[in-house]
Amino acid sequence: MLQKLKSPNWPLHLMLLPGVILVLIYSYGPMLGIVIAFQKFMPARGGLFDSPWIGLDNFRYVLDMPDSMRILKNTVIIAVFKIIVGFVVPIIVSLLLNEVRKEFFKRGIQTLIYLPHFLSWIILGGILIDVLSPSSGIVNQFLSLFGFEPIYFLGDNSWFRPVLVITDVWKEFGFNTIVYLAALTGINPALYEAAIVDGAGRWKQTLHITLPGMMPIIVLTMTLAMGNVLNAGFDQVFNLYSPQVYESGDIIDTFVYRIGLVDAQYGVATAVGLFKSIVSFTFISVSYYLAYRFANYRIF
Amino acid sequence: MKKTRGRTWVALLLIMMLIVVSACSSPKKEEGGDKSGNSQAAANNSGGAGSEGKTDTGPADPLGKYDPPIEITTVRIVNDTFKYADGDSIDNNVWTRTLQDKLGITVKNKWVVSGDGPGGQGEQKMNVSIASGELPDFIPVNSKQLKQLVEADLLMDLTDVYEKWASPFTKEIMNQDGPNALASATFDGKLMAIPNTGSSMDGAAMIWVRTDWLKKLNLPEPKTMEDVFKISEAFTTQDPDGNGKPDTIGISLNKDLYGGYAALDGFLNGYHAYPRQWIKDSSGKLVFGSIQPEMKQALAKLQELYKKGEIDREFGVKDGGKAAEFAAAGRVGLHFGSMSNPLWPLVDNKKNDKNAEWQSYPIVSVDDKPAQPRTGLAVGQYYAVLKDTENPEALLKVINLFVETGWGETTTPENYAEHFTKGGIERFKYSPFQAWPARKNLDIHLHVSEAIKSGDKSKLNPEETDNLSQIEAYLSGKEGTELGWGYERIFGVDGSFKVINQYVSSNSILASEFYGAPTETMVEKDATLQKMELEVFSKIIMGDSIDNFDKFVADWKKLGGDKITEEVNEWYANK
Repeated sequence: MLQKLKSPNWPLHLMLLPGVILVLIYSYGPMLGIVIAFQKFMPARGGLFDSPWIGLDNFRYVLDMPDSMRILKNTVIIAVFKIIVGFVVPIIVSLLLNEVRKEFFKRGIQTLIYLPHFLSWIILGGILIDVLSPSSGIVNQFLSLFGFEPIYFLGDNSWFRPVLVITDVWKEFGFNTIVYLAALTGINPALYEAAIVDGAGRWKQTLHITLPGMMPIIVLTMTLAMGNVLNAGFDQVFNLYSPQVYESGDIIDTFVYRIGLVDAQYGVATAVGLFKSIVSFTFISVSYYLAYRFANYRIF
Repeated sequence: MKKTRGRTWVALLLIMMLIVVSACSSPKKEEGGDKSGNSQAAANNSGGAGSEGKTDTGPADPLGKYDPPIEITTVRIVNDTFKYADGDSIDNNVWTRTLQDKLGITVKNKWVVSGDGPGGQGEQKMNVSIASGELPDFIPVNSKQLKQLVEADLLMDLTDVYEKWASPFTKEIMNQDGPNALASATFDGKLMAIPNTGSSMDGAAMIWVRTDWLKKLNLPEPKTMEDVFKISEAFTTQDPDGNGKPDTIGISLNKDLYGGYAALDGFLNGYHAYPRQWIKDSSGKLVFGSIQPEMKQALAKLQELYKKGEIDREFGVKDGGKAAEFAAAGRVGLHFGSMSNPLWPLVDNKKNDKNAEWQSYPIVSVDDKPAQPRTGLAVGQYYAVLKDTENPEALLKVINLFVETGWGETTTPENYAEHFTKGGIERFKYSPFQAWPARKNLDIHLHVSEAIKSGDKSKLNPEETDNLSQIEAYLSGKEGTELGWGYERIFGVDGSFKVINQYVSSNSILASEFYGAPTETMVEKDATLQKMELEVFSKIIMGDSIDNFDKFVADWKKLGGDKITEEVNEWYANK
């Protein structure tokens, strides 16, 4: 220990300390609350341990609910599509932007596409409800030019999920694109020069130099995304959904919100939240292992 | 050297801990100081001022002043309709100042949240406060929260406090709407909270129609449901606003279907369907209104109207506020609403379009059986008191002062206006604890229309005088008196209380049969059941097969509905 302190790295490690303390207080401390999942929690009674224990009853209650399978299915479907589309689009866009030679044009595009990232869903929700309105929304007015019937995007179960995925990707792809563009600048230009000498065209260069060069950062974002497989986006869904699209749009988080905050059934809500955490933890563990196996990526 | 480094390490660690710990604990400290200050004041109080101490045996003065003054804590749930005079706020306004001057009570709000709808921000914040135990001395709660607090044994038994400190007038108001108000706050014979009494008749549904459109299209007044459909169709297809565009709809509706602006309650009552209400069936048992066959018929008709475009195609994403904007923009000419709609949102429509005229009509029936508006218990809020609170009677003193200022014999028109309506601002909303006479709005209508007819204003009480002057300002044709138009449409000769007067005199209002605290299974399952109901009904209106209703009824029973029905009937038998 003391030997280690001698190493020149210790001030750096010290800088971790505030972060670690914050995580302990705000992330690990509240984990005590998990016990609520196994209690018939009486909120007003005060302490965490003053309510009667009921074992796994809360979990059974959730499983008995008619909606639970539907909610799980919605969550996974929405999240998986968001991850896939949200993963592919920024890569493609960054590759395309990378080919743009006019600097001001490239910068302009970058700025424009990452602006929505800074708007909150509560604002975007209001905007989207107007934009997608079947009677007055600009999207449907545009469609009607081509003779389409107006589509009730936010009230139709077959459209609601695509709308969620598309709008989410639209909001976030610009931000992710910047991450990839940063990775691209790290690729040694000599590799391209060598490839040109070998007679490789633009496409071959992309395939054999650019993509492999981006691989570590792609794997990293993929790993991080796996932990989100059950995060289908509370803010977004909450601001856009309505009873008609519960069937295709109700997700774990909105469900927990209704059960927990609105109906004050904290035990049940915690049980669902705990379940979600366990699944997410499994996913991120697996993907971390895979990332280590196939891309030699590891944090520790 | 090694040692110094080690020490630096430890020192740095300690400093960081200190920062974090002190950051965490500072609010608590403040609160602690507060509490002790509070109890000290209370101690002084019981020692110093003889007549005010709880231990004192002398006669209680319902409006006596605390000397020295005391401080009480509560929380406030406000909404967007709260407006303030210059420099005032929810923490400092005419009511807080009056409470200090007249009663020696300083009200301190632990938090203030905007959003008072069911399940809204305020209710959520209250739920969180209950869960975390961060409660004020005086707690405004709904019936479900009240039950939670009673079960957790946190509340003071107010039976004696009420007996001793409520003024005779307060007691009269508490019982004006029947004994149910106090009964609903009584657990095992103990009064655990003071209800903020309202008026159940004020909640009765009625039909609002734009009469300038009626005249223009030569349509009849709504006397039967057939008339309503005729009006609705004409408003949708015959361009009542004359702008050449098919941009108007017949019947306004919000996404929650019941409650709030442009709900369906009145429409459904016309079909003898009573959603989310407990009604007596032919055998005398209580049954749940949402699953009765009448509901199915009504939904089938709504589906038809939706298909024809007579109901807002986008009602599914519009809450009451959004639906109100639609009305304000002059896009709709009929809705099922409440007596207060002229003040919100119809007055906005009037401001946008001087020609807009709205008239209220009683709800109509689909067959030869007369339609009956059904109303719930008129208590939306209860005031509970924490067990260890020093001056529980302060709650009743504030309520005593509130009712006395509003409708008591000692109040004056100036005093009333100052505390209730001066400057077009609804100042009564500031008072932390309130109670409302059940019949007073109806009486205003009766007295004001009498005064308009006879010209004799001498019999009016301050509130009535105030309302009449608003109405007269409008009738005199002055500019910018839309608010007076609103009051005229409510209390005037042809105001909405004419409709309620008809309901009352024909004895057609049906009160809710169940007014107890939520039962065991209700607390557990109601959320699921209500969500299912809303989802199935909205989808049926928007075109799903009407047979899904039968599946809903079966599901409802299976998923806890039968158990709830059992519990409700048990409660009814033991009432």
